[in-house]
Amino acid sequence: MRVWKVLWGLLVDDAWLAGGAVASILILFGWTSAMHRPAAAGWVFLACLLAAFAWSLFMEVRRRPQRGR
Amino acid sequence: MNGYVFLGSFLGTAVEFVEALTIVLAVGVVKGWRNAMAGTLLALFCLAVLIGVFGPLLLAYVPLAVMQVVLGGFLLLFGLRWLRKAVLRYAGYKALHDEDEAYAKEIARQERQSVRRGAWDVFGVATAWNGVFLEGLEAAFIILTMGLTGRAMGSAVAGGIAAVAAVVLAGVLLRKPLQFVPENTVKFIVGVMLSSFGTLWVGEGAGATWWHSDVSVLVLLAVYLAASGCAVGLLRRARAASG
Repeated sequence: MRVWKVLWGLLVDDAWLAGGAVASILILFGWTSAMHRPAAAGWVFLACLLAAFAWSLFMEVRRRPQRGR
Repeated sequence: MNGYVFLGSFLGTAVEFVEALTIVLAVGVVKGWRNAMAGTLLALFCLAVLIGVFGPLLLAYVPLAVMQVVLGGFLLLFGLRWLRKAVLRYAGYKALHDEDEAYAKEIARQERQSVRRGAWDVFGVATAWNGVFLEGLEAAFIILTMGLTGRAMGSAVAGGIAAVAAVVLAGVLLRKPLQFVPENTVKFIVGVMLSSFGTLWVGEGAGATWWHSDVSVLVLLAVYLAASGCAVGLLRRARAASG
């Protein structure tokens, strides 16, 4: 089933990406609830998301060559 | 009419329905167009009911901030996932999706279940329904999320309908899989759009103040585009260096 494939993909294949995005949302909430410069909150959130995105790509590339073994 | 929502909804729906069209064409060629069209129309009806029921319900009962964080969060995950796949495909770490190959596989699968051409066939109808409904589910999710969080349901639905019409028209005229559609490029663009809107809406819902409000989406689009472009370049270089 496609829906399960997507969910499975998010949980396993894209675990770094999904985990990083959730962590970024938590940081965003922490930032805005502490009222530290709400104008900067969005850009801090974006920086966290980009870091998670880059990290997930790095982990995927590191994992890929091992798949064929 | 919200142009960004229309475009995001149009591209997201189109790329999903290009894959659905391949399955419908295979069913039509082997099992007859009556079976293919019955499955397709039934699936489109189910998707329309889903959007028609959940759209107004969520709009009426769920506060905007909650919708922005929850639905925007899913949109963000969805977009980043597509973008990541597209980057890996561009860099050569993942194989490109081949519509001709998918079409040949589906033709072979349909022929194994041989039935007199033109007669009603449950397997053929179910296959067409399955293909259109499951591919369409992702499109329906994009339409609902973009329409609700952007408060532009009309633009999102219009984009979705325009995309289905365009793909169906192309399928009727060509009667072959839309191999020429640059699927990875479209997924890359939609990934950038969904990620940007997801970031904007989740931020808004969580209480962040964006620079010049919605204008920030243009900056987000540019940042995601630049970051993804750099990622493709770096990964290509790393792949070439590793041989």
